[in-house]
Amino acid sequence: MKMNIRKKAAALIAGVTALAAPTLAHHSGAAFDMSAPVVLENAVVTEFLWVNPHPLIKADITDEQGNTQSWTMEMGSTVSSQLVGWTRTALLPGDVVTLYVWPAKSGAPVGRFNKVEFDDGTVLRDSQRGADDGGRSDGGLRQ
Amino acid sequence: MKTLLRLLSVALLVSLTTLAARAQDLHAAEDVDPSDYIREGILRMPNPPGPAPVRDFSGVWVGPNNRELGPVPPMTAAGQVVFEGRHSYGAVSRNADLGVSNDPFIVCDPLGFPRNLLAHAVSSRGRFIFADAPDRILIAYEQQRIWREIWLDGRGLPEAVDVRGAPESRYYGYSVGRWEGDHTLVIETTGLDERPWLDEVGHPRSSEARIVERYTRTDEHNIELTVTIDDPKFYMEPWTWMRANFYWVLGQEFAETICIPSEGIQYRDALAQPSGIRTEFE
Repeated sequence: MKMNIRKKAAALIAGVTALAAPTLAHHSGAAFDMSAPVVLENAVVTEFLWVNPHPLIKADITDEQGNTQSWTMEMGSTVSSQLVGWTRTALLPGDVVTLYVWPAKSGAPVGRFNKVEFDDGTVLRDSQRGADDGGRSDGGLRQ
Repeated sequence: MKTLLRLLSVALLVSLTTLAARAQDLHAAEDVDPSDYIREGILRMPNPPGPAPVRDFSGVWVGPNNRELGPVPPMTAAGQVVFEGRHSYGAVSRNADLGVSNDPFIVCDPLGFPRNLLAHAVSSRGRFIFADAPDRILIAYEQQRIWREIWLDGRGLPEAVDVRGAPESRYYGYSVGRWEGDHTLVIETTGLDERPWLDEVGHPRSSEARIVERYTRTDEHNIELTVTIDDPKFYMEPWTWMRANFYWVLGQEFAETICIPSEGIQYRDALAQPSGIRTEFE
């Protein structure tokens, strides 16, 4: 399995600015770098914790030298995630997927989940920060 | 914003109604049609509502929708003292000197009545069941899986609590109900434990409070609610605390949404601390 962490510089200033408001009900996004997601290709899901306040995705990536890095990312609450197609079994240990993550500014391999691409091409997005610009992606169902 | 308060409360989120059916489909997100919903996560009933049945609220409802909170009247000196000691998430986010919010729900302490009616942690609404039982109506709420008993047998409410010879105060108080006409249920509640907050802001409510909920089933699918509070210990005058609507839940399913301290701790350790986010579980 190859390691390929690339920074995707795509953030739109406008989109990021729009986040400031009510995107996260309980904490601001100040801890995360919302300028560009980290892309974890061929990430192997090790755990999907369907918990509150935020579900957690844990996944490993391994580079060509065999070095493994373990990432943990939070996503929108279980309730709001259900509204955009998530379930407790949406990710299972062993799934190999591509994960997009807004990384923590602390530099630790943790962050805010953006979206996941499955090998069949389907995508599941975060309820709050799932758009490619970091904004909402829930189809306008929210008030 | 600086401190981020992460709450379990948050946590709690009301497990809304949801796309129950669609949520089962892993990749159904693209199929969501906003016109299927009356509000976020609330599926529209396929048929127009029929007339309200007579003296019958039984079933699963979701709300509050279209919630309006009335202006809070001036507090008494005693009420003001309590209020000033409370630091809501909002207050803390505006003033970092307050540190971490002391909202009791952050560590999963009970919301208590009537704050549980707000079901406010994240989604602003949740589901509940009206159910009949001997001499009473039960109201069960999916958030925290708690319930209330509304006695209809003509009994009175305690005039005092936590004094010798009187019953103990309760987080959800003591409630009695009566029907007014065929479609309105009036519930009175007293005997509240004073620890829970009245609302997200941290307003107090005392054990002397008398809270009246007036539910009117306007048709098959809709209930209108008005809640008034008379709490002379903490407020200078009674007021209408909330007006809101509730809607019939398609499929009548009921979820489980629980504030779980161990999950909050797990979140703290796995993500919040490595990210530099402060939590209440410190």
